[in-house]
Amino acid sequence: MTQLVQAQPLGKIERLNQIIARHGGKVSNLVPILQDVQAEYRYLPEEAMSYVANALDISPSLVFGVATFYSQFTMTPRGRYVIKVCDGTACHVRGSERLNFAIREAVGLKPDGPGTTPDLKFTIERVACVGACGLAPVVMVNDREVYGDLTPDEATGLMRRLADESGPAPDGAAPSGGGADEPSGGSPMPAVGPYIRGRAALDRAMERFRAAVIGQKVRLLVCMETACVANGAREVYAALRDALDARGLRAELDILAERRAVPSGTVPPTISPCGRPQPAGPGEAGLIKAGCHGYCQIGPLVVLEPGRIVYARVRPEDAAEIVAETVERGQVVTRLLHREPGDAQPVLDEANMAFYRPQNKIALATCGRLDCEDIREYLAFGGYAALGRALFELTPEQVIAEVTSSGLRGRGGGGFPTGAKWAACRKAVGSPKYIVCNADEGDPGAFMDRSLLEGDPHRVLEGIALAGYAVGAEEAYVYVRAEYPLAVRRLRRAIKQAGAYGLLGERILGSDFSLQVHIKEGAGAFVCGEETALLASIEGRRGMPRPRPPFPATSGLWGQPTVINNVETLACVPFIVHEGARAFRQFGTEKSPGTKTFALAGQVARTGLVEIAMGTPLRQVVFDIGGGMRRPRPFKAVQIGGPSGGCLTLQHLDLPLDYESLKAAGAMVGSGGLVVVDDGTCMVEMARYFMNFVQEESCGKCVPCREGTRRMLELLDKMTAGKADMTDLERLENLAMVVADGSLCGLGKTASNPVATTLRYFRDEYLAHIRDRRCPAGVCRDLLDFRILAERCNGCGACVKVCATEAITGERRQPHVIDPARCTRCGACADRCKFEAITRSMDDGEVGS
Amino acid sequence: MNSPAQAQFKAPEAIGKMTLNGREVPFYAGDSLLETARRQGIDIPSFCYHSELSVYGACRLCLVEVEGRGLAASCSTSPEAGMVVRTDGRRLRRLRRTILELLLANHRLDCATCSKGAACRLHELCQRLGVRESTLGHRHEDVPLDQSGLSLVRDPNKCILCGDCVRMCREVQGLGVLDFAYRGSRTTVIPAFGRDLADVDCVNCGQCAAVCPTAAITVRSDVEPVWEAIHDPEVLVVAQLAPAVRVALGEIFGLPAGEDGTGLVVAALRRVGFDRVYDTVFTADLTTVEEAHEFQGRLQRGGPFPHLTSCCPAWVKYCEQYFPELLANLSTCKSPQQMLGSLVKRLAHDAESARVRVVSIMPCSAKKFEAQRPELAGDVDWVLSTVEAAQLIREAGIVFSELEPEAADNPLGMTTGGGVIFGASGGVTEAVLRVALDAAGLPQPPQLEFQNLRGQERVREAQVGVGDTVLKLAVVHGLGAAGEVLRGIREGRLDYHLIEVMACPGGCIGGAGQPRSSLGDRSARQRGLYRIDRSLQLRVASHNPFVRELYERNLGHPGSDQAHALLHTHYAPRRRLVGKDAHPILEAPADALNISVCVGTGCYLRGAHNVLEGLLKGVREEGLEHKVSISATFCLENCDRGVSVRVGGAILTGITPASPRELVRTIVEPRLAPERSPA
Repeated sequence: MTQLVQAQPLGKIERLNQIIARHGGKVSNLVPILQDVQAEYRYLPEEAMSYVANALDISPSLVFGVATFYSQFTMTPRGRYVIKVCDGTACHVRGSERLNFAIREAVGLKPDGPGTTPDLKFTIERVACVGACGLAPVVMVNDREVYGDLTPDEATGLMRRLADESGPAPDGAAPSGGGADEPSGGSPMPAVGPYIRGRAALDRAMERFRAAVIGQKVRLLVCMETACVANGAREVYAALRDALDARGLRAELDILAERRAVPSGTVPPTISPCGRPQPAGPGEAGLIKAGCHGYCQIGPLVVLEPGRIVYARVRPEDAAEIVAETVERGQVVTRLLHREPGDAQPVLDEANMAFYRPQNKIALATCGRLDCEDIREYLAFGGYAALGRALFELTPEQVIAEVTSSGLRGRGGGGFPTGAKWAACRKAVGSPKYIVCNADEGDPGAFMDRSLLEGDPHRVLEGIALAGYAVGAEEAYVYVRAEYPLAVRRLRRAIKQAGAYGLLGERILGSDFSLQVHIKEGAGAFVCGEETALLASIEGRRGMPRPRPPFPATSGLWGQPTVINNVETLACVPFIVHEGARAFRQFGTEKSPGTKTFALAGQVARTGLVEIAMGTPLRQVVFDIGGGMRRPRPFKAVQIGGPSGGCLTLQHLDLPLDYESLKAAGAMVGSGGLVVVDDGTCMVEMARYFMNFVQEESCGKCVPCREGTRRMLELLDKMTAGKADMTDLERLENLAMVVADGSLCGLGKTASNPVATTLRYFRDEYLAHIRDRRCPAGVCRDLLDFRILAERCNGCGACVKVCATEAITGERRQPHVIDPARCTRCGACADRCKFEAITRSMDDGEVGS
Repeated sequence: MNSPAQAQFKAPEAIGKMTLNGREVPFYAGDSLLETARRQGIDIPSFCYHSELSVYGACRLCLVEVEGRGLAASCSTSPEAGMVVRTDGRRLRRLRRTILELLLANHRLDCATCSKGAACRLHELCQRLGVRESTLGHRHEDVPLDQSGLSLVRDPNKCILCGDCVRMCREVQGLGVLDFAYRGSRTTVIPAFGRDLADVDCVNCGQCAAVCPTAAITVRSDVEPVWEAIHDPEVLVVAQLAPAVRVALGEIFGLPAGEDGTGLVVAALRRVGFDRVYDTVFTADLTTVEEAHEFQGRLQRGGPFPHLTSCCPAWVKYCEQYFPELLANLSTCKSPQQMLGSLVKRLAHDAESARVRVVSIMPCSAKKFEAQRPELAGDVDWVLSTVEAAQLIREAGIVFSELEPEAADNPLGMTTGGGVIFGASGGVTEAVLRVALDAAGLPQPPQLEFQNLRGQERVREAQVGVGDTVLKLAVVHGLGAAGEVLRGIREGRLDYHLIEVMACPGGCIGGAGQPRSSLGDRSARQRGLYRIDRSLQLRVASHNPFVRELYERNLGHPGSDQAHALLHTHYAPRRRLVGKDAHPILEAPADALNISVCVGTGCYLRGAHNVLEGLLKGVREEGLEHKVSISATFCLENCDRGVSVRVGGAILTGITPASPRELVRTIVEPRLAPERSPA
């Protein structure tokens, strides 16, 4: 038998045909088609793009235009390991740049050279934000593994490990959105659920699963959200599962539901978080893949219910003890409890933890309390009750009226009243109508939407269904950004489950209302968070915004009336419809009712996901929840709302966090990223960082944004390099106004905010850079002068080892010196020195390391 | 005046009142704020607003202040009753100047030598708005020019990314050759995969250049070699003047659009140094006679219909690329430009043809490409656009306004009205009908004018009785509209006896070689051509005495063998993308038989991938892997007869998916070298 010389490429043509067919040969699916093609080839070969253009009968320039617009696509072959170094705000202020240099050096790439090694082993890329800000700085490997809290040394070690790994390529042709597999063995989900028809059936289902949950003597809620997974939550889950299964302790919901069946007519008690875990017998211990608990920093987290007892930094080795002590005997394992830094006493439960106490949860009410991959748990917690109420008790107009009177405003940044948007769309002439859930959470430093989608996808879906019912839509799209593969997978599973239970799809709950929910994955473009750009992207085009009016409510997706709401906005809706507008209004302020989630990150002691009443003062967030500063350095500012937002300073600590107050201060709620910085952060450099981000992410359509942000960045570069003069400051201020005044869409209109607010509150720092050629925070490299203080240096040589350019010399045990000509001012030596013998500043010793 | 072009402009109906710069003004249905202001004599500056393209809203120059709303783009905002709008003010002035400065900062500033000259809109607006310096930076790198095309030159260093070309190519021409690529400050307008224009499906119509406000896309200049020829005493330089040029060239020298400049242009060209000045209208008459004969032949033979006109070279290339199955319907008549070239070199000056150079003055960029088509090459040496011709005249220092009109040289300067109206969309059809009716001895319409063939609508239909036959005719301009009509033909929804297609808006009068024009200018040029037509004594092409003499002396009769040899041509399917595009599927030793299966759109839709897969399976089953290599390729230029397969040097067409064994038997086996028996 002769050996075939090469048969593989036919597979590729076949695969191209399959891919095109799988997406219905539709032009609107161009982005997912290209995503799948890239998964096949690991890049987009020109021939493959031509082939796709041919098959879809569109001009090749259109395919090329789309392929070059989204940063996910690449035209050159990529390495076996694609390392994405996150450069989100939180990672940035925690040293992602140094991490990037270290990683590139470890694989032999120059700092500013190409991103792929010649042997096609590694591709190193910067990425705007992977949404694991609590663990900053982080890197993501092959879109699946996230490594957090990395030091440059650890990153170098990671690269070495990967370089040594052999065996089959780990890429697999991992299709887009394919995150790593979860450990198997969670409660098996019936493939086809009991199709629920009618209100009574829904109530019965909820009661049944509620009884089952209450029947669990202890619930081990293992956080399986990106940050905890990065810290090893998967292994913890697997260890707990094995330990429980070895003793037959693990509960299965359906069996428990049978066992705990409540006589019809009696109402079982609600699931209370209070109480203490009870010793569990066989089949009575719940092991739950839970969503984000918020306090990502101390993960992997295992929370015990009842009692909300928190086990922090759990390791797989702890599983046996947890099962033996906590599950079987109802005892708390004290050594696993969290200790606040400086506190000798461990904290038992959430109620006693400063991080949780001030929070109020509506959107995150059940996030972290239930199994995010099991619709039965969501039902047990009263999920889909709001949808049941709407479908069987309320007219669409009544749903809109309820949402209107709740005062709910868009949580994606704009703050537009949700009820008004829905009413406009309902009134708009045209059919079909669409719901679009905007999950393109691109702000660096924000991860609320990711946490919600990963931790409680059904809540978002219920919100979508309610919106669809209210406006009369039969199709909905969830647009999720490409960097959130786990969210996509959970959402996909949730849609399937909801369909099986009759909670989505045709004739929901037996009513006349039908709603199909589709997922559209973004391909890496921040601007697609802008609603008209998002629509263009769903339609398969370049994500370029268009002028409004017409607004999407009257002319949106394919020119049809469309409601676009952010994830968190939709997650608030079930509460409003179920509990009523008044219940929602008990939180927040008159004009900004309800709660808001924030991603707390940066140089603050406690980082994570928080939900607080609108109007909560900034001080409470930073100092009570966040626990103040992480390092012994003074609070300087909070960057809120990402690149569209602005900074707040000491003078704003008592500012209530709501739409109006923030706007008046020149910032905005934005999507809710909240990055705290201390005096080790240079505000000019921070403005430069955001300007770099927006000019990278500008779609390039309108002149002020495309050209203006580029020139603003140049001016800021000059300033941080100590090469600017006062006319540059005037130019910067003029451009800031023009870009804000003239830009076409929200991205451009707000692009100046970081510059405008830092100019307003930290003008001195700009002047220091321009007039004195000095960076007061000791950050801007070109303005630094690293020197070793001879009186403090004991000649240990630690700095010599970390210096990549061999700029440090000296006799052992004698004071060393730095050769300024060779020094690249990377700061690694100052970081390493334990004796604070290395200064950064031009004026001696003013700024230590 | 009651010309048809004007008739379509209905008197607008005011639907409300608003306040503009403190004055109460009416506004009209469908108008934007920008259009409302222009009606009031206020020209709000803008780059990306174009009345014939979709609203883009990107240049942001047209922002105005709307009371209670702040700044709004006037191009995309509708007026409302009671709206209070200011088009100027301190904030707006700062904004506009900064925007212009930002554009200048990224623009190659070689204004003194730029071919666009004063026609540059960026230049104009900077002057208008008093921008005196650019302090916001400069270009970081110069990108090489794309000079690959015979018709157009792209200079990305001048592009301001207004997108007018992109929308023109996609929305009006239905092509999408150019599109935006990359994003942010790296955004660029470029053909697919960053290829050169010559390597993609550009048809050279140049409408991108016609709408480009700067010199980012320009019509290629051939002025230099023409000067060389003129200055060479050994060379006999012959000019020919296209119909549409005569009503537009004068605009550059201050004549109103549409004014007949024929005599002045002839006089100017003589002074520039052309040894002969002929008129392309003469060969337009000749084309009319030949094409009318061809069409009548089809009427007698019963097809093929629709008869498609062939004088527009952009349209011909478009048809070759996108509707190869209709190439047999395309008239085989050469275009008037090429007919004149043939007559000059092979008949009128055949004795001295080695020293004759033919220079066409055309309103068109695609004519430059046409003149270089291999099957036509040599008859026309250089093509100059209307604007380039004006450049010659200016460079020679000729004061146009002081010229006296002169007549073109005979015999190739004799014209009828039928040939003149070739320059406007609908003219070819009208000219052919005049000849057909005349030949049949049937009455002509009043004043010989077919009013329903005239106008500005993209597709115009008419039914004309010729004897017992009622002819269904369609006149189309713009390739987007042409594509729509032809898809209708392809799908059997539409049928016509004859379709006239001109690629440019309004026909040749709106060609890319003309001075920049608005819809109003084009209407004026159209009216100008119809006025010339009416003023001429002879209006039926076949009455041209020198055309008659040509047949009597040289060609015999229309459609004769001599006429065919001299005046007719042929076409071939043409691939859209040039370059590497083969996917190797099965690689075998170098001496193996190479088989390429076409997977271009036409073949793809006919099941090319099934053929491919079947073939591979068959080759494996028959154990031929070492003797055959297989690849997929994009276009074998037989799109009308797919699925096409190239086997060795031969191209097989009409292959249909069949069993693996069958495919091997029919395709592979006949061409495999017989096994050599061991010696």
